[in-house]
Amino acid sequence: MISKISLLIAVRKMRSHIPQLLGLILLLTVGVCFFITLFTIVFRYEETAEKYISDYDYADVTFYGRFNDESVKALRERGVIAEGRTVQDFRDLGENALIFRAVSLTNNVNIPYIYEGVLPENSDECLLLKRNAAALGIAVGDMVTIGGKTLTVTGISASPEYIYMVQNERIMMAQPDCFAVVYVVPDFFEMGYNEIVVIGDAGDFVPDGTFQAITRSDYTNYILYRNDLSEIGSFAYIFPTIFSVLIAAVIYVMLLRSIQKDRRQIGTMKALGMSDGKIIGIYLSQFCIAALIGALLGGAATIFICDLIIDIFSAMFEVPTLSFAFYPILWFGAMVVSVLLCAISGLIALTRILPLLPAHAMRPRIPKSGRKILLEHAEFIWKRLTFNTRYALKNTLRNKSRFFAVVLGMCGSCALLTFSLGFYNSITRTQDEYFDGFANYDIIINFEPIPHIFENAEQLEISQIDESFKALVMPVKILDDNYILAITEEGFDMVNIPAAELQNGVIIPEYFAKLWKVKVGDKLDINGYTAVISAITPQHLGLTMYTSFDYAKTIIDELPPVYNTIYARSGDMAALTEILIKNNIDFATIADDNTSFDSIMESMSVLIWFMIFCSVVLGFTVLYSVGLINLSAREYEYMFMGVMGESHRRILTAHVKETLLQLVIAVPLGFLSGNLILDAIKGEFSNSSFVISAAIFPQSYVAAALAVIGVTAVMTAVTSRHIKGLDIVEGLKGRDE
Amino acid sequence: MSLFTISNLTKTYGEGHAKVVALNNVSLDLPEGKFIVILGASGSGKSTLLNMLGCMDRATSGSIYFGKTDLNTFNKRQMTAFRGEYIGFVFQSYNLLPDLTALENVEFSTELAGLSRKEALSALNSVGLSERVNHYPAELSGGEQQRVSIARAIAKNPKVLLCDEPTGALDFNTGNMIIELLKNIQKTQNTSVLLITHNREIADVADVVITLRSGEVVQ
Repeated sequence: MISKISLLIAVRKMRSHIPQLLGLILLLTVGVCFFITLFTIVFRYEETAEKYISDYDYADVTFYGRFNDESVKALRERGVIAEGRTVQDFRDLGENALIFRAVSLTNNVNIPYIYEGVLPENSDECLLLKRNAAALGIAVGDMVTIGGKTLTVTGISASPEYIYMVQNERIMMAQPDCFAVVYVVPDFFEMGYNEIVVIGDAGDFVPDGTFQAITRSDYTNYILYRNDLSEIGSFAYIFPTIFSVLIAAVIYVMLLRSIQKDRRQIGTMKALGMSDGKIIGIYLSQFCIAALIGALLGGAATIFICDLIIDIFSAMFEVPTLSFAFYPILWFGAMVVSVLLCAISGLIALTRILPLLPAHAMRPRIPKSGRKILLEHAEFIWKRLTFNTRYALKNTLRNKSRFFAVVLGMCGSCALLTFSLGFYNSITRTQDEYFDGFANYDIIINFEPIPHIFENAEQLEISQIDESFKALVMPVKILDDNYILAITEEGFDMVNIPAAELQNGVIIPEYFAKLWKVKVGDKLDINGYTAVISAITPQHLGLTMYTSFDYAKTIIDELPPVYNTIYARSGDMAALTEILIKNNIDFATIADDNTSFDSIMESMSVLIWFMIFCSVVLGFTVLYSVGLINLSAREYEYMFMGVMGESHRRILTAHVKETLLQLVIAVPLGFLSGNLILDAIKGEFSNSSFVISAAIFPQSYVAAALAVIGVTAVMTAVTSRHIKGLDIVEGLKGRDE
Repeated sequence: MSLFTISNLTKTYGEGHAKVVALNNVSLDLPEGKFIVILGASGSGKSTLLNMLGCMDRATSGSIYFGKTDLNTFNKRQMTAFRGEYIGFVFQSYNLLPDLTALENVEFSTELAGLSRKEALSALNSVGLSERVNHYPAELSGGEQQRVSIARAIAKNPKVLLCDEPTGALDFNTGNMIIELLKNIQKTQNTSVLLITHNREIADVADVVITLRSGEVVQ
C-alpha cells in the first residue's frame, strides 16, 4: 500500500515532470486510439455483418442456369430451403448508361433489409438499394424505368448479397450511379428462373439445368467482405506493434532521463530509510497514472474516430446497424499494455539507480573522462575547425547514449513517415503495374452465366473490335481453394505473359508459385486434372492462371467447346460500348476495371490515411519527446556556458551543429528502416486477388525528411527560447545531476 | 558505553592504477551520547567514514559494531532498516526534497518511523521554523533549509545524528547557530551527534575530536 507521503511525492513529481508526462500521454493516446479503433472496426464489422447475413438469410449456395419449379422442388426434397428466382440486367440507354439489375424477391432467402417503405406487391413496384437511392436522388414513391417498364419505388433497402456493389467478377465495386439493384415481385419477369438460392447443405446434388454452382465462401461479395476484414485485421495488429516498439523505446529513454535527473533525490530518500519498493511505487505510480490517462484518452478518441471511419466505410460497403460499440476487453487490454509498457520501462530505468548505495546515488554521476575522438587524430582537419564546431563534435561523441537516443527518435519518426507514405505509394505502384505494364486489352466482354458455343453462329462480329481473343474464364480448385483460370485462344497477348508458353502448360502468377512452393516444370492438380507449370509471371491484381484451349484439351478429355469472355482492343471504344449496350451485352472497359480497383482499395486507403495521420502525430510526439530529453540533458551545460560568457547565439550554434549531425545520421537510417518495415509487412496485405508491390516514391522520402527536419527546427526554436530564459544563478545552485 | 566500535576499517575505490584508499585500517571507539567531531581536510576520508557509520556505504574490510551488531554484515534491506530506525542525517547541501514543503519534508521522516504529523510540527518548532512550515525549499534561505534538514533528522528521535559538514554551505553566523542547535539537541534529547568538518573552530564545542588524514586516524 502506497503511503501518504509517497503519494504526495508522486503527485508533486508529476507536476514537475509535466512536459515528459505529456509526451508520454500523447504517445500512448495515439497508439491506443489506433489500436482500439481498428480492432473495434474489425470486431464490430464482423459481428454486425455475420448477424446481418444470418438474420436476413444470405444464401449458402447459388445455382446458376435455367431452372423450373421441378428443379427447386428436387432441392427442397433434400431438406434444404431453396427458392427459384430471376435476375436480369437492363441497360438504360440514356446518357448515364445506367445498368439496373432486377432481382425477384423470394420468401426465405436473401431477404432485403428495409430502411424505409414496404415490400413491393405488384409487378409495377420495386425496392431500391439505399446507396443507389442516395446516388440517383430517388425516394420512396418515385418512379424508375427498367427494361421499358415504369416501376414505383415502394421502399429503400439493403441486402446481404449486396454488402458490396458487385456487378460481376470484374466490376466488383460498381459505382452506385452506374449500377443499381432493384427487388421486384416474380411476376415482373416473363422468363423462368435463372438462379436457385439455397440455405442448407444439399450435398453433391446439382439440379438439372445448372451451369455453375457457387457457395457462399466464393461469392465475390463475401470474399470482399472477408478480405476487408482480414486487411483491417492486419492493420490492427501490425501497425500498433510497430508503433508500440517505437513508443516503448522513446518511453524508456524518457523515463530513464527523468529518473536520472532525480538520482540525488532518490539517494536522499534511500538515505532517510525509504525502501526501494516505496521508491519504485513513487515513480511507477506517476508513469502508470500517465499511462492510464493516455490509454483512456486514446479510448475516448476512438469513439469519435470509429464513427468517422465507419461513416467513410459506409460508402464502400453497406451493413445496416454498423456503428461504434464499446468492447471492454479492448479498452482493458490497451490500458493493461500501456501501464505495463510504462511500468516495465520505468522499472528498467530505476534499476540503473536503485542498486546503488545511498552514498553513491547522492553523488552526481561521474562524467565520462574526455578522450580524443577519431577526428582529433586527423589534426589537419581538426585544427581548421572553429572552437564551437570542435565543442559540438566532442560533445556529440562524449555522451553517446543520449546522442543515439535522440537519433533513434528522429530515425523512428522518419521511418514511420517513410513507411506510411510508402505504403500508399505501393498501392499506386501496384495499380500502375497492372494497368500500364500488364494489361494490354481495352475491354473485356462477358457472356455470363451462360457461355457461348464456338460453333454457334452468334459469335460476336463487330467492326469496332480491332483484335480479340476468346477465353473461358472459370473458377478452379487447387489445394481446396478457389482460383481463376483463363483458357485462351492461341497467341493470346491481351496481358503481358509469355504467350508461347500457353501451349506448353499453365502460366501462374509469382504469388501462387511462392504460396504453393512450385517452379516451372512442376505439376499442379487443377480440379483433379494434372497440369504442368510452363511459366511464372509477376502479377499484382486479379491474379489469374492462363493456359490455351489446345493445352487444356490435352489434359481434360471432355472440355466443352465454349467461351464466356472476349478480351479485345479497339480504336473506337465509344462506338464499341454503344453497340454492346444496345445489344444488352455485359462488358467492362479497362477504365471500368481501374475505377473498380480504386473502389476496392478505398477501404484500405481510408486505413492508410488514418495510419499516415497517426504516424505524423506519433512522429511529431516522438521528436518533441526526444527534444525534451536533449534539452533536459543539456540544460546545465548551456547554463554553465552562459556563466563562462558564451553568447546565446554561440550556444545555440553549438546545439544546431549537434542536431544537424543527428539528422544526417537519423534521416537515411529512417529511410532504410521505413523500407525494411514495408518489405516485411507487404506479405500480410497480399492475397489471391491482390499482391502488393512495395515502392516508396522520391516525393515520399522528401516529405518524410522535411517533416522530421521541420519538427526538429521547431524544437530547436523551443530550445533557443529555453536557453534565453535560463536563470544561470539558480540553475547552477540547483543542479540535480 | 560505546556507540560504534570500529576495527581495522578499510575502504577502497576503483581498481588497479585507479585504486584509491579512502580509509586505511581505521580502528576507533565512539562513545554514546557525546558530541563527536571528526576533523579532516578534503580527501581525508571523513565523509567515507560517516557513510560507513550510517550504513550508506559498505566497507571493503574490517568491522563496525553498533552495540553488538556488525553493520558490515548487513544486507541492503537491513541497512535501510537501520538507517530508518537509528540514524538521522544532516547533509552539507541539505538534500531536501524540492517537491515537498518544509513540513512535508519532515513528515517524510516521521511517516517512515511510524510517527504522526504532531512530531513533525514539534521538530520544526524546535528548530524555530514554525512560521515556515508550508514553504517549499526553494522559498527558504540556506540556513532555514539546513534547519528543516535538522528537524527532519531529529523528528524521529534517532539514536545518532550524523552530520556531514552541516555548516559548509552557510555563512559564519548561520553556521554558528546551526552548531548551537545541534549541541542543544545532543544535550536535551540525549542523542549522540557525530559531525564531520574541516573547520577546527567547530571542534571547540565537541566532547570528542578525532582527526583524520589520508584515511588514517592521526589523533
